Amino acid sequence: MIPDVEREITDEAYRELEGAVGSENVSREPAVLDCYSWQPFANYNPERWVIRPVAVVMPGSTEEVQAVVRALGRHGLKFKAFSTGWGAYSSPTSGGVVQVDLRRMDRIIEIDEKNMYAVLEPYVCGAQLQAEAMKVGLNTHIIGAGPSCSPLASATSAWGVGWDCCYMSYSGRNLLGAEWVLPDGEVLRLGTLGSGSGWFCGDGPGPSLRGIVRGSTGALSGLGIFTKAAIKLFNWPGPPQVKTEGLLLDAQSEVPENLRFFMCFWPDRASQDEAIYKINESELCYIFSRTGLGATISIATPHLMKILTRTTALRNVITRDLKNGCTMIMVADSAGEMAYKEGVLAEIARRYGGAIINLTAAKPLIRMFLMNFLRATAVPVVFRMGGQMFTALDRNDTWDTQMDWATMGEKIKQKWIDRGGILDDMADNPYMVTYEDNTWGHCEEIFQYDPRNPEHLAALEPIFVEFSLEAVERCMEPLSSTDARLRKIISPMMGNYTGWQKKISAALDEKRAADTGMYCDEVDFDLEKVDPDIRNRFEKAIEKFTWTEDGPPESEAR
Amino acid sequence: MASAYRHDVLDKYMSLSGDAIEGAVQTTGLSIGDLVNRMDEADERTVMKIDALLARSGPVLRLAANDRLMAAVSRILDVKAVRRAMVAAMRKSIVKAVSKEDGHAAGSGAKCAGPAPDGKGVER
Repeated sequence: MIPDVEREITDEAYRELEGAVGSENVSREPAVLDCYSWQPFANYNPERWVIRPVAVVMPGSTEEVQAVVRALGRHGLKFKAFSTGWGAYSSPTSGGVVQVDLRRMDRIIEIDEKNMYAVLEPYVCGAQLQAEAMKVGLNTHIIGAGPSCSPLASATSAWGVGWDCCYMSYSGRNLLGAEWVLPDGEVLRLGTLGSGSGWFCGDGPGPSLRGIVRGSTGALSGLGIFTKAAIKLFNWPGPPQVKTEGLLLDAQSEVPENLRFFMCFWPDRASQDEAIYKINESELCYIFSRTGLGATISIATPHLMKILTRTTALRNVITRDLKNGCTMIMVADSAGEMAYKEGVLAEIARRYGGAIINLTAAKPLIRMFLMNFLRATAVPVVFRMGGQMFTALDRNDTWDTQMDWATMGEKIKQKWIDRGGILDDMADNPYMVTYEDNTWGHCEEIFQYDPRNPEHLAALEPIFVEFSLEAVERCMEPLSSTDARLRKIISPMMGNYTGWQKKISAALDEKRAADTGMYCDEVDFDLEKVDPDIRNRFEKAIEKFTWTEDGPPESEAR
Repeated sequence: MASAYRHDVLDKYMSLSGDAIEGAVQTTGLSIGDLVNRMDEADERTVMKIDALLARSGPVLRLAANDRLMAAVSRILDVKAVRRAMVAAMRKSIVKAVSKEDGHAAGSGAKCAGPAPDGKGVER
């Protein structure tokens, strides 16, 4: 049942919205609003869903966004921007919020081939931009949520990890000039755009506001609405169009001559980690990920996975013998470059005792895998096993710390698998990538569950708490940025960062027009409901790590 | 596995597997997605048989770590007749497994109709 927390929009406010965008582009029909009250990811309580907006409005231009924001400010309503959606993060977090659906702003305004960037509106999706960029020998970073998501949204407002991060970085790092409608309706142009010099740089001339825009995650519409952004593009040495028929596991693509797809296995974690550092240092990869073999099996063949979990020898092969591995795609501008890269990879394999499987040789398989990786189209199959999945991530950091997080996550998962709280995917199911051919990496521990299973639903909150606690105890930042309860606990351990966010919010949003539930709001965490052992550990961690007025606490952990 | 990689056995095997899968696709008229889905519908007894076989294969697997043996295997895989025979054998196994799973008439070129109405594979 949807909670009755929404306030109605007044007729006067509604008429103003109609005046701003045209009556055909605004609605308060309950059936329409309910369609916005569900997003496929992170919507883990089917009884609650997300909060229904009081109206939905679809502006078609920056001027219309300004008019909408100003109208809402006049009537004491809040706005929450929605570009392509996917997670519950793009939906309202409180009553009295109008969903600003940006789907009419769907143009690629410019692709600057020479300076390697594209200027986009919010509803352009990753697949759309990639298809256009490839025509001129360029490519775009596509996030892990898949190619249906908006590159503008992830660059300006929310996270930004993907399989291609080794080559194409993290979304927030690819943001160049941006056009930003502030909560009071004023337009702010960032980077070179702000000084009339075009879109090519996100940081000036003059002081950059990129830190305020992004922080570690992005404000998820808590600081306004981005209406245009320039995104950095990258080299694509393949054909202007990768001809593909079929979808997902049925996909068959023409594989470019100068592309290789490898799976690498290493004898132990230490060899794997060193090899991964070397692979990235050598700038070999276009796509790089470390994904547990069990994870691959669970998404491609979920029924078979259920049987495999009951085996012994096969399970050992998957979880022990082939545990330390990674997957990569290499591309090259010439045969000579490819030969060099293959030679370097072979040398790394020799040095660290690895074995490399060249999947390019297995043509039907690489034809199936190609766009599933290159365009990240494989993402929907992650939902096959139980119908839902969730994730536990810490802050991007060195590869070693990310592997520690993966190892710890596997242990927590195994405990909950044994208790029947989540589905058995053999526990080692991290989504791990490296950034910018560097030692910097990302790890989120994926777990899969069946939302129709009450035991699974009951386990979600304790799992979230346990992962959060582990992160705190390791001086890592858990997935705090979108949970107002956790933010209230974590912030005092991290220099009271929400205090600064609130000051920024107050400076830019005097009338409190933005929905800041995912940005800087805080609510109390009811630790009374948490398992006593976990609660004790949490309380000790809070005591140990909370900053005083003089700064960070003195502690052996620091 | 590292030994097999060092002597190019893995690369050669992947190439042969690809040819076998391609042959199976042509023979059965199934797509790769269909083949993956048939694999997903594998019978528990079949998987357990493979598990038991693997559990008994320790000595054989240890042989696979022998560099001299892998070097020899690699040379054998260079022989055209061996490659053809391996591809044919693997293709036949895949076709047989797929046909067992759903009662599909191998060689008909028709698309698979999916599992039987009771949700179980048809034994032949």
